[in-house]
Amino acid sequence: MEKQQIINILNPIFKKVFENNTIEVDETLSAADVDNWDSLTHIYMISEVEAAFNIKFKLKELNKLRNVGDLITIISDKMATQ
Amino acid sequence: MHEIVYRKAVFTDIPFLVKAIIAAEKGVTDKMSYATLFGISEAEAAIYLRLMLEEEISGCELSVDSYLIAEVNGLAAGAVGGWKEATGNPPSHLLKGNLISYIYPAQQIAHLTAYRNVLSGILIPRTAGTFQIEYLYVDPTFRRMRLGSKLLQQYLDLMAAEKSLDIVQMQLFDSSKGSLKLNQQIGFNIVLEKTSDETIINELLPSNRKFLLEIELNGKATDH
Repeated sequence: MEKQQIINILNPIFKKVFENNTIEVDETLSAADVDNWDSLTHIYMISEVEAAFNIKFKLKELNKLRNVGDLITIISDKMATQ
Repeated sequence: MHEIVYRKAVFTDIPFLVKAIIAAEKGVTDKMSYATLFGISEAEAAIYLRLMLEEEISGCELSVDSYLIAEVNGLAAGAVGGWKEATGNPPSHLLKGNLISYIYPAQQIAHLTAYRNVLSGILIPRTAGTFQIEYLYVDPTFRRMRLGSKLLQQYLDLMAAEKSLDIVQMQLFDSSKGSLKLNQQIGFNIVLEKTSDETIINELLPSNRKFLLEIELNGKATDH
């Protein structure tokens, strides 16, 4: 799956999870940039992403996430091996 | 004469740490968030807590290496968790979120996320660069030995030796009157209070009121 396709799927998820219609997902976006990116919204975001892409993250993959760019890379890798 | 030994927790302490976390979470109530928020029993939550601790992720309250154990005459008698809140690495709330996402089944995650707006009002962010204390517990068999304050003081002394650490913080529910008093006697001050008006909170958490307590190890203060 192309990076832009993944971003197009992540965009509405992020707007819904973080209840912010002005969020525009890009590779540099991180938890520090989003006001209510707390433990609960983080768990919600992960569950929505897993459901949208029909994937299950490994713990080491989750712990490597530093920004949305890392998230896109992991999603892309997982989609490629499915 | 009781011989008290303090040591860092290891993998084989996990059953005791599960017991400690559950008891410390509940305090004097029967509300344990790892169960109530996910719509499961305390016994089921204990299994998930064990599985999360077994992942041995460092840097949060679900990390084995965060805990200091007090042994009395060779038996685990008390525990307290603590970690330096990361400045560069993922913060503890995201590490904890990752563990929960990975270990809890999707059905239980859905149960939790349904409460996200209710819970957000009582969340207190952790300050990067501070030392965080969580889950102080003493086994009932070993109470009346002032083990809780000794254990906490032992951890604070260890932290004071680290020059990069100035501020120690802990979060306590209003229901933990005994812990609140003990911590204030040691020198912690209440620096922030959060109260939720959501009535359902009292069915999920030990209280609808939460405090952030702080102690300065080397004379510096933080802003809130």
